[in-house]
Amino acid sequence: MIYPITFLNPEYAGQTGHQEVSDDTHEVVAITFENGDSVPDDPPYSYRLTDA
Amino acid sequence: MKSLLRILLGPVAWYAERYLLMYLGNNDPIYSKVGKIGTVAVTAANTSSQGGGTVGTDIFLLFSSDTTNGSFIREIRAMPTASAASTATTATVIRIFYGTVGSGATTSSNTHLLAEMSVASQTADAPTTPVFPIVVPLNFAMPASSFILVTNHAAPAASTQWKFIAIGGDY
Repeated sequence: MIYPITFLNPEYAGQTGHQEVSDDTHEVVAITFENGDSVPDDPPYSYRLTDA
Repeated sequence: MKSLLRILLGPVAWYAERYLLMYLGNNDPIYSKVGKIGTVAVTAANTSSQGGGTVGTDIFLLFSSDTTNGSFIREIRAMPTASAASTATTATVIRIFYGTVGSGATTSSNTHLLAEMSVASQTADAPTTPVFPIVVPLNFAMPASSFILVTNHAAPAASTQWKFIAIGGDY
């Protein structure tokens, strides 16, 4: 399942992306920017699900 | 003879005890005066385990100690909840921080990782199967004006959230 997200940390504030969650384990398997690029671990980032 | 010594030395012993106790901050057990429960729902992700964030946005204030006497905190319970029946929560790590900042921006210098717990996916709000809580015993005295904050590493699945409850009391 892929959920739309909005980043909260200052470095990416306002940018959107996606949180991909495994349908089997319900673990997060990928966090990407809107363009599909993976989000680097540094700096640490925070995000929330974008309201539908 | 023994009784006579007690009579003679009694006041000396009493004063010696008073004198020694003057230099102890507290020589009695301390109990909380009134119960205190803190609650918060975690609604966003925070991928840092170093305490940085914005309170209410990506790091969430769970418990504030008494501003004069401090508080005792016994445990924290995390419960998976859902607004839509039988919704699976996202597996992630929950983090509990102790800090001296309870609003605005937190940093690694004032907010410190106290515990991490792995939380597997659970089916929340199911009609026949209950969820189980994640309980983190703490059992320590918090200084006045200090805080317990919590985060999730991953954002909660749609229609779900981890609800945290802190159980303690104010001194």
